[in-house]
Order: sequence, then structure tokens, then C-alpha cells
Amino acid sequence: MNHIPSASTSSRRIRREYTIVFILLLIPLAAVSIMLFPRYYSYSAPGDIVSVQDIGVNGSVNFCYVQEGVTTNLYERFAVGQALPNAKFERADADAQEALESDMQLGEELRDETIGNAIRSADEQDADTSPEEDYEDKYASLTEETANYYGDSIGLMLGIGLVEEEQHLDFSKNGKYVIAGTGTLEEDHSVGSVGAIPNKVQTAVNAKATIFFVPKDKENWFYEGLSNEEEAMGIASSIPSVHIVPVATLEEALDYLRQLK
Amino acid sequence: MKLRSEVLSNVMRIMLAILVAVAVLDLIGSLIYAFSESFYLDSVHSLFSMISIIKVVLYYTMCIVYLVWIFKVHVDLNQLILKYPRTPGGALAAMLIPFYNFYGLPSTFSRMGAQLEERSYTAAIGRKISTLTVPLIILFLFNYVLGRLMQQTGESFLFVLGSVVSLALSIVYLLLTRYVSQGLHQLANRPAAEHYEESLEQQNVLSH
Repeated sequence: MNHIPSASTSSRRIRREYTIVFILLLIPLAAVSIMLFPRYYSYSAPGDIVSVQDIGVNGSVNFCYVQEGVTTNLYERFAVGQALPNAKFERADADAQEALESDMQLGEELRDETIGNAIRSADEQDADTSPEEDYEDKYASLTEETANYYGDSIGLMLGIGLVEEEQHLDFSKNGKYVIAGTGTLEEDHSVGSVGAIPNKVQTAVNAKATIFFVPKDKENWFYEGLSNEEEAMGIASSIPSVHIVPVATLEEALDYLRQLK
Repeated sequence: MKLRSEVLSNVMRIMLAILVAVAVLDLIGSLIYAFSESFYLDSVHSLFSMISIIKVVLYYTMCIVYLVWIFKVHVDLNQLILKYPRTPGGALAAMLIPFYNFYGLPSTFSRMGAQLEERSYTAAIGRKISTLTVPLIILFLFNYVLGRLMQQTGESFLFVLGSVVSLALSIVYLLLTRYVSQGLHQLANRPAAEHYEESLEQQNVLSH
């Protein structure tokens, strides 16, 4: 007797196939739920060094930036990890995004303040001080050119670049030295502490910098953990290609650069 | 004859149809990203992130289902065609061995197509499978190279190109699954006379 498939056999087979498909579709749906479930991480990764010429200053030195941000789920963390393989992640809470935005706002204010200090400090290195209009023009131009950077760690290198521009100097000796650094510049020409020193030093190494200025802040470090100077000098022994130079003031950095052969 | 690959062929067809739909959505996302990165990041990033995850996980799930399917298809082919030139294990090896699979993947389908073309009642299906072998290997190689390039550069046009190739590859797999399934059905339900003639031919070959 021939077996003729009945309607119930056929529907059972359809049910079986649809059951398998349904189970298989649960896998991507489960993956989506896990990957998009809110889970916050803050990250920090080496960035790059940028010539002061890129922000309209006729100098040879470079400032350094690092990449920081917050990821809100595992998918974003994965995407950032792919784009920035050296990124270091730390678990954060739900307020991390808000905190970052507020830090960026504060960073903008601090950046503009250090730009002002850099312009005045560089000007004061010369006997002839520039008129106030020049200051205003320079300040407006630099705040516009640095709009994509947050924080005041640009101060010292901007100050050095402006001295090169005003005094027609080339501290790099026609490209012999790749000079980079980090540190704020205060009204009294002192160099202030910054964050993310290990990533900034790593950035300098990646960019093949030969000299890297850091704030000389070991003596007046009032916070928890290591000062910028201690952190940088701790790494220095493992990176012989970069000469780490701690400086307390703009003048100290300029003296060091002037004695380069 | 009951085909051992039948249930999985149907599963593959449904899953590949879903994968094609997801690949279309992914292509739309890539186009939006290419035309307006800021709009993409501000407005539709979450939606297309979800689609990207579904696409990737679905793709890898499909890879596993595909391996089981191709094994079962070859079990059926070895039962239906005497001296079929590839064993089920050989078909799996052709898919899994790195670099060899650049040859193994198209050769699996070209052999299948050639065998079906030899029989009058499956010749049309065989020709369709053989024809699809060329776009299959081209798209497979493109997909591999683009995947590598996208990891290195992240250019938006590469994302669009990657999405187009991925969509085209899914369509080719869907068509191949459909034709292979149809070919197996026609082989299994071939007319009794054809079956008898084939058996005689096979006996003659064996008696040489």
C-alpha cells in the first residue's frame, strides 16, 4: 500500500521546521538583548600628537591629545574596542555620560583660559609686548581652531609654539627633534598637572616623539595616587626612544629647548 | 525516497529569506551612514546597531546550519547518484579547510550542477546551479577582502559596498538552497523508467 502524506503529517513537518527556525532566531535576539542591555564603561585610549601649525601657530612643537569617552552597552564597547585597540575600559555607572558631558563643558572653559595664559606668557618672553587688539585676535583665532579639543593640557605646548612664532625660532632644528608635551599653563607661567599621563606618553611613543614635556609636580601634588612627574618617570625607563622632561614653568621648558644642539 | 536534508533545506530557505531581509535593512543603514554620518549617529544609530548585531549573529548561526545542511545534502546525493564525486565528509572538508575552501566552496556546487545536468529531468536545475557558482565565488572572495579592509580603514563607501556584497551573497545562497532542494526532490521522485535506465547504465559501467 502506498503511503499518501496526510494533511496532519504535512502540518507536523511545517511545525517542525518553523520550530527550528524559531529556536534559531532566538540566538540573534538573545545576542541583541545582551549586547544592547545598558552597561556603562568609561574608556581612555592613546590619541595623537598635533603640530601647533595645525591650529595656526608658526611653531615646530606638538601638543598631545588622548581619546576618552563613555560606552553605554557591550555593542558600543565592542565597536570602540575595534576602532581603538589600545583603549582601556573601566566599569562606570549610569551617570557616566552626564559626568563626561559636564567634564567636556568644564574642559572647554579651562582650554580657553589656558589659551589666554599661553598668549600672554609667550608675549611676556619678549621685551616688546603686543597691543591688546593682537591678543584679542589671537585668542579668538586659537579658541576657534582648538574647538574640537577639550581640556587645558594644550597650554604649555601652545605657549612654546607662540614663543617660536614671535621670536622666529625653530626648536625642532629643522625636524631633527620631534617635540611634544602636555601640561596646563597658568597666569604665572607655571605648568599645571593634567590627567591620562600613561596614554599621553604612549601617544608620544606611537608618534615617534623624541622629547616629551610633562608637568614637574612631584613636590606640590596634593591628590591621591602618583603625580604626573612620577607617573611619566615611572614609564620613562621602558621607553628609551622618548626623553621625558619634567618642567615647572614655561621658562624652564624654553631653557631646555634653547640648549638643544 | 525520503530526503534526509528536506527539513533542513526548508529551514535554510526560511532563514536565508530572513537574512536577505536583514541584509536589505543593513544596506539602508550603510547608505544613511554614507550620506549623513551625523544624522545616522544622532537618530538611527541604535536601530541599525541592533540590525548589525542580528545580521552578524544570524550569519554565523546560518554558517553552522549550512554545514549540517551541506552534509545531509551530500548524504542524499550519495544515495541517489551512484559514485557521486564527493562524500559528505569531503563536502564538509571543502567548506572548512582554510584557503582550500576558496576552491572547495564553488567546486561543491559546480560538481552538483554537473551531475544534475547529466540527467534530462534535472538538467535545467543543474544548469542554474552551475551558473550560480561563478557569482558565488566572486562574492565570497569580495566579502572576505572587504571584511579585512573594513577592519583597517572604516571608510563609509566600504560599508556600503560591504552591505551590497553581503546582500548579493545571501541572495545567491538562497537561490542555491532552493535549486539544490528542487534538484534533490526531482532526483528522489524521478520516473520509474528513468530510474531503471540509470540502474542499467550503472550496471554496464560496473561490468566493463
